[in-house]
Amino acid sequence: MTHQNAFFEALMTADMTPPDGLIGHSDGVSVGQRFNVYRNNVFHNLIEALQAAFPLIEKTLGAPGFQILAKDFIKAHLPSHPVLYRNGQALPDFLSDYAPLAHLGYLPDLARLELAISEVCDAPDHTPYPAQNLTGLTETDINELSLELAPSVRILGSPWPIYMLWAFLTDKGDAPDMKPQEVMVFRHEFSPIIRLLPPGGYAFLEAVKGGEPLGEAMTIAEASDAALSAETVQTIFNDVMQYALVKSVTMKGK
Amino acid sequence: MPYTDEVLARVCRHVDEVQTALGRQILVENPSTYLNYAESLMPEPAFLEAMAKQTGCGLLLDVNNIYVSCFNSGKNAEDYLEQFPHHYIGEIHLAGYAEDITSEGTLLIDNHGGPVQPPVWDLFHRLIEKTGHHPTLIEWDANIPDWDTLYAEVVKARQVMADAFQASGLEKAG
Repeated sequence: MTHQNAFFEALMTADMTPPDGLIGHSDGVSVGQRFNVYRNNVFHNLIEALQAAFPLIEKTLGAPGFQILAKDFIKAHLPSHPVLYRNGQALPDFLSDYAPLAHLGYLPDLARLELAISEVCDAPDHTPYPAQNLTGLTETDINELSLELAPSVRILGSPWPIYMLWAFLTDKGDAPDMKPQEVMVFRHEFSPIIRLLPPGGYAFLEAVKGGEPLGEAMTIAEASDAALSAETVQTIFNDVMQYALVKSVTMKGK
Repeated sequence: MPYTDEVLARVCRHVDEVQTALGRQILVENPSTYLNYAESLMPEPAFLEAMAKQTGCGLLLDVNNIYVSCFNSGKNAEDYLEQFPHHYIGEIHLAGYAEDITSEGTLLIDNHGGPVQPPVWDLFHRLIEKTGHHPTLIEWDANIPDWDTLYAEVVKARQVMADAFQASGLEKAG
């Protein structure tokens, strides 16, 4: 084993004896204690990066609980990405299989939402499509439009009240009712925005993001969610136009 | 890292790779250390000098790291500073350290969490007296204080530089 591998293995394993060949000084501080400085430094920084990316998971668990989760996660998922928050990409799936927190079934989706918030903050800018170009179109024309949405737009569906959980934990709402919810997350200027989607909204936006013309997207969404209505589409559209989330528009067959 | 010829060759390959990718010179910083490898054959300043010579990289001298590493390994920080290849310095860092006092003894931890400590100011004075002016950065990125406290460190650094110039009779270089 190379020096590097031996050092790394011991670094990531609590209580493991440091590799041979290391020396301290005659002052009495043992090699083990000196080695712990490196170990603590690595874990401290990685845990801080996770705290910054998942503040609501930490708020839910409390700081000591989050420390335990973070250490277990880091040992199972050593950092692989130079952008620190991306090293938490596997946290939602990790939480799904994490027995000590299995009783908090909503945690994986809460982590997905926090990941989406980090991602939208990091998403590229776009030049919004000029809204005035869409005025005067007939309903048939509109049904044939495909919209390319802003690179920051993310959608998330959950069997849990994901929007109410977020609102509750950020002191914007009351304790959640237990029902499924869907959200759209995007960046407006420098701030992430989280919007509750009306029923059928997720299926509609998923089809739009997949390149379907608006008419087809409505048909697909109606088939998957009977609750989709013209008002649903209007509500979503208002957000999309208000926040200038359309990057480009193409008309079917052109 | 053990400071051996084999490790030197490997580090130089990596520095070359980075400089080639970036299309420019980089500065490599002396680390804070808490342990050393028994098999090291050369002192750290000699290793850094050989690396700079072979790759054309510059060196970033962190004065706090010198003090922390020397304290932790029972070496003399002034000797280290004497041995450091000054003509490769492109930038200087100053920072605070924390004392980790345990039943086994005391380690200094490079934590960037407080003001620059007196022995580090003394080394900085000595360095400027010897080498003249270099771009200097105060690193304070944990327990960040209010602006006035942070700015007082900058003022102090400028004062130490001015005093050191005066003591050396050197013209302000760079």
